[in-house]
Amino acid sequence: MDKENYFAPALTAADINSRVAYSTQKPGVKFYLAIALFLAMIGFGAYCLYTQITTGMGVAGMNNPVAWGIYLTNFVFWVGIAHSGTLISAILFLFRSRWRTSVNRIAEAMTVFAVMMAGLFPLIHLGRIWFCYWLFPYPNARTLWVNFRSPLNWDVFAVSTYMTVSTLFFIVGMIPDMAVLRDRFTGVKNKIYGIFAMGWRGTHKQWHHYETAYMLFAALATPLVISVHSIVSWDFAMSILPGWHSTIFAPYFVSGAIFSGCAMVITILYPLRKIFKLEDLITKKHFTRLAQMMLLTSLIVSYSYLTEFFIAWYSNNNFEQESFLYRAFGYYGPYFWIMLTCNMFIPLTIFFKKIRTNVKILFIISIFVNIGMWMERFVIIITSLARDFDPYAWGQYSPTHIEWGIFIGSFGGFLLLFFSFVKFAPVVAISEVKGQIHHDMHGGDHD
Amino acid sequence: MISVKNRLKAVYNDYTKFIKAIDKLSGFVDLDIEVFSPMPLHEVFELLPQKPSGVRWFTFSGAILGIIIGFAFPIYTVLDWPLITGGKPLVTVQAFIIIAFELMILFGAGFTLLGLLFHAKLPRQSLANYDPKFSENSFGMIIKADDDELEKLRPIFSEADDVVVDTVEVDV
Amino acid sequence: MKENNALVKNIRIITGALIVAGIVFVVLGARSNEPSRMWQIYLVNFLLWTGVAQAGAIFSAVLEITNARWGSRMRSVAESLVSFLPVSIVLLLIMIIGSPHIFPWISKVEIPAAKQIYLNLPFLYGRNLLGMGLLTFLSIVFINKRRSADTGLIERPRKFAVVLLILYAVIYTFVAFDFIMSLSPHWYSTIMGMHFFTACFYTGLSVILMSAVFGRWHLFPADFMRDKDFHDLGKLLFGFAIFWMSLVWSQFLVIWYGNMPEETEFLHLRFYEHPWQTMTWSFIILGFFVPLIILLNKKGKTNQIVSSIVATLILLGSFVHLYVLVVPSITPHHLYIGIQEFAVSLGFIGLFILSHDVGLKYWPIPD
Repeated sequence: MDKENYFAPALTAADINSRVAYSTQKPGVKFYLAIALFLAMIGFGAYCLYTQITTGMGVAGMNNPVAWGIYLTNFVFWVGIAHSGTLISAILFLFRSRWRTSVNRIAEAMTVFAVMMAGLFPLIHLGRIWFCYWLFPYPNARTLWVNFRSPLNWDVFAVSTYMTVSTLFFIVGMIPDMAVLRDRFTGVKNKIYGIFAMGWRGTHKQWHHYETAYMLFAALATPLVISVHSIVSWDFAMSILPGWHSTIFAPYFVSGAIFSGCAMVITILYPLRKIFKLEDLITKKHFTRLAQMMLLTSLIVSYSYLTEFFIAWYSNNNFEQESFLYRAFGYYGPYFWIMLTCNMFIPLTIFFKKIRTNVKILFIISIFVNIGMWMERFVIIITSLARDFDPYAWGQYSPTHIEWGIFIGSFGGFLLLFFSFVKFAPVVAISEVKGQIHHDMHGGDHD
Repeated sequence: MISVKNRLKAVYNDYTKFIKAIDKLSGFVDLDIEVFSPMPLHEVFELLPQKPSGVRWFTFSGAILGIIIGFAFPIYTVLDWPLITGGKPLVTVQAFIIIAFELMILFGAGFTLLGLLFHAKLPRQSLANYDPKFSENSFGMIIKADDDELEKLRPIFSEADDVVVDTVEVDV
Repeated sequence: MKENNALVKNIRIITGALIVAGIVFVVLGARSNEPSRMWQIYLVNFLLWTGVAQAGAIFSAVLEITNARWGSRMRSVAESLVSFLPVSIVLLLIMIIGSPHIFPWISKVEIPAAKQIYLNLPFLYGRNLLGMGLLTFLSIVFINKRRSADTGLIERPRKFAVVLLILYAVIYTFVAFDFIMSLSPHWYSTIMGMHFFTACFYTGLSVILMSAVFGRWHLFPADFMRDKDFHDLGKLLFGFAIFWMSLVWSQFLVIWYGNMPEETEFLHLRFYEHPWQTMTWSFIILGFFVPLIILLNKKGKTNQIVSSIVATLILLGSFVHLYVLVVPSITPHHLYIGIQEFAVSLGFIGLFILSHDVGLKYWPIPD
């Protein structure tokens, strides 16, 4: 464990309470304007979805051979965003990394909301959204069961497990902090926070069980994070389509997910700490750490890109080779090069200390990475489908305004949920930050 | 049987004084004590040793249950309606491993939550005798003791910022 | 350093004897009428022990990058494994002699002209000698630098560690492609590189643990290693058991599901055909289930008798793992187990222990 101090100096426990509670005060006009914008985005998305439901799937651009369009791109994108939350929280907790403390709550919230958005897209993609319960294994009218051999069904299990476990992790992690807010307020707020605090009193026995339970949650969540995106990658890799059927897909997708997730955390943290005056708790050092993690995952992703190209050449398999040539120089070539620039080249600048420690530049890089990672999923899904084995079946796809509208709507939904969370709940894990500051002040027995 | 005991609540704003008091209290055996703090304190766990938390047994049994269900359920369904798909055998262990893995995590996490609620005695309604300062930056303790014991303990709290003594009915 | 001269002397005599026996059997095997039988076991051992030695430097580099302090004592042990690397370059040079008996694409299997650009002896040995030579050189420089940095003479070599780590990933990917994948010239798998360098690191961790336990009992100053060090290393080993298995699984599942002839052949041979099936299962049990079950328990990690036994089993599992990756490609229908295999393997072990001993001289354990 490193001994670096991540907070502004001379921060006391009472300071932390007031700083974190600052965000839960009565919001200003800007906040309501933002909410209005998000609601408008959701409205547009809902209108598009309504059009699709009433008119039929034809309003979306998907057709043969590209039957998986940007709905599934968005699904993978949001699941990817959802990954860094639990990663920052759980893996860094197990590694006893001190810097997780003030960013883990925001990251966890991001996970929960992003996975909610992700979960919508397969349903939208499947069309008859009112039959979404068909995904779950139950004996239906023809006594048929779901196909457990299908990777798409693994997805149902993986994503719903991920949603449940990350929500539990998130809520359990907030219990002591909800007690803090409960104790600061009276009246209705006291009652509401009291429900979430579940009567937490902070006795040593409670803390003892809490610490064990939290550690166990982290230990369960870590393999879960890895398994969920592996399973998402196998939605593609289990097929035999060139460009999809690749053994490296699991680690490649997992690191890509963490990469995009870290980028999204930076994108969100930057405005958040400004608006809510959290600069003392979320410092430049946290951004640097996130950037380093982004760099590491970017390197793994780049490694995977290059390996895929090398093996496509090495395989001497015409289909593989053509598929990758098409990816780079075909109709969708520009998307590929945007992806490569955003995910492979731009993050390399993080190697320079000047850039790593400049929060504003990191924010800009993170936006490029978000774009690049969306492109990556687009490139993988669409190029491989557009040109499979048989030239007779080749075709092209471009998303319609309906598909874009729903994508915009999902952003609105994500941001609305996130802003409501910030207004309501403690955005920083108060008890953990206090524990760390306490530990620094009074020393400790652990290194 | 119900008996009446003294209840002593001490509040400390200073950690050093607080931990000194805990240190002295740790000499007493069978002390009915609850320590309050805004964050987990490892020094307190060392002075008042705790048994390893029972939560892990909840997690373990949940995980095992999840694995069993994760294999048993898909196997039951494929045998219930035998339908070959994708040229794979009916009981495709490779695929069911994934279901079992996910359910292991799901049930493990669910049972961990139950374990935490059970052991930490949550959710609870009453916050009587709790001091809101305990979630900010104060430390404290509540001790239930009879008259003799209380007299012996009393001097320990000379440095406390606030000491309240009242009586309470306890089940013996 | 604790004076334990009698023991060290005995070890040197034994390792010397093992090395001599190993050399004898390498020569005999190479000149026999089944030279590929000897060269394949030579290749397996070469990959195993080179990977372990390199992992020593990588372990230290990872600690340097993550700024972790828990491993400050463990890394001294890890670094002394690196002294095998120069030896392994010599071993690689010796392997050139055996190449026709190892690589099927030289004469046994016809490969397309495009592939010959990549798969030909001069280029293959050229790139691997260059890569492994570079890694050896950088590892040694890195360790020297970080040791001087500990005394405060120079800046911490963090950038150096980053470079080392990136090169490790890249070069070991090509080692895996060249010495494992190319043995089945038509087969390809994108994960092979990552799979191999993770496996090397994992095996390396187990050897570090064994070496640290032995050192604690017999060589090092009494209070040098702490129980906590072993606890932390045990956790890392546990984590890597799962991570390594997840890579094995990723490769297996994708190929098994796709079931395409050119891919499945490799897997079918190893998972479903006698005798490789038994060996595949044994490396899964030794390398995954044993550490998973035993290291899950805290006592399994802190009790050094238990954890060193687990580490030995992991090492054995890793050996079988590499054996199953390499050998069925060369001799698909014969499992050779005889005195020759044991002698060559023990010769490598002897050579490794002796260079480890030299490493401890060159980079002594701080008092």
